[in-house]
Amino acid sequence: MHTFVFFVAAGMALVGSTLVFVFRNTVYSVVSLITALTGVAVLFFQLDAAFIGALQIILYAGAILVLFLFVVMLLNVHSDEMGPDRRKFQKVLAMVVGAVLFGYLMTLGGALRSADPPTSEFGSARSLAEVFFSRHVLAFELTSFLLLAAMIGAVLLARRGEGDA
Amino acid sequence: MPVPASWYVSLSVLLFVIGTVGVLVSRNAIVMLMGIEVMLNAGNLVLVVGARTWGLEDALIYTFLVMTVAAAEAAVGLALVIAMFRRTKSLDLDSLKTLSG
Repeated sequence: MHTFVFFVAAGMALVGSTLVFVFRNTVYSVVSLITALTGVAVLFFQLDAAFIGALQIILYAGAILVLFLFVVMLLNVHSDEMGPDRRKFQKVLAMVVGAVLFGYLMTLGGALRSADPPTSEFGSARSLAEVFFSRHVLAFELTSFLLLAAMIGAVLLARRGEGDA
Repeated sequence: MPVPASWYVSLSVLLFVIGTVGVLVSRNAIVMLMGIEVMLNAGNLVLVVGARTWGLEDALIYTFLVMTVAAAEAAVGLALVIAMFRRTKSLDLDSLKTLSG
């Protein structure tokens, strides 16, 4: 059963993230990215990280991708206005880079081996909060500053300038 | 863990490579940002697998922080895309060639 769920979720993630770059219509790309991220969220649930899985759905699929969808619809660019595709040798070069990266990363991934099952509290919101607000409280505070800076920056960048209509 | 940890790591490597190749082959700025999201998600998956394998909850905190950075990056990146679209009336990153002599 675990293996079946793994393969379904992994298939969702792989197919979804591949189709992001295949679709010419950007709205389709966003929707297929939502599929991929939901697949990864299922894997998070399977790995006993229920809180992170819920965050993945709420934050990624719920907030970030709605932002993407909003911008796509705001700009309303048709795919045929994009001009010709990348040149052939650029695509081949990208594939070569991908193959080399895959080979290199796979050699690094071999170090992982399974360990004892964690305690029942593992991954719950309660135990995460205990770790977060004791050892990582500075990171938490800095995160709020990061979000504030990103918000101000986004408003400044997207604001209509004086020069353009 | 009935499914071996190495399967999750392999899946995450595949996702990361798909994101990288996607960023390299796409011309649409929004699709490129989505490729970055795919890569960040692959990193998150490895962090969660490591947390589960060694029982370290700190890695889950890092996952949370990566998600926050992804949100900030998406907000600023999309604002940049909007600013670029106002200037060039296009989402094609190759249209930004003012500096190319």
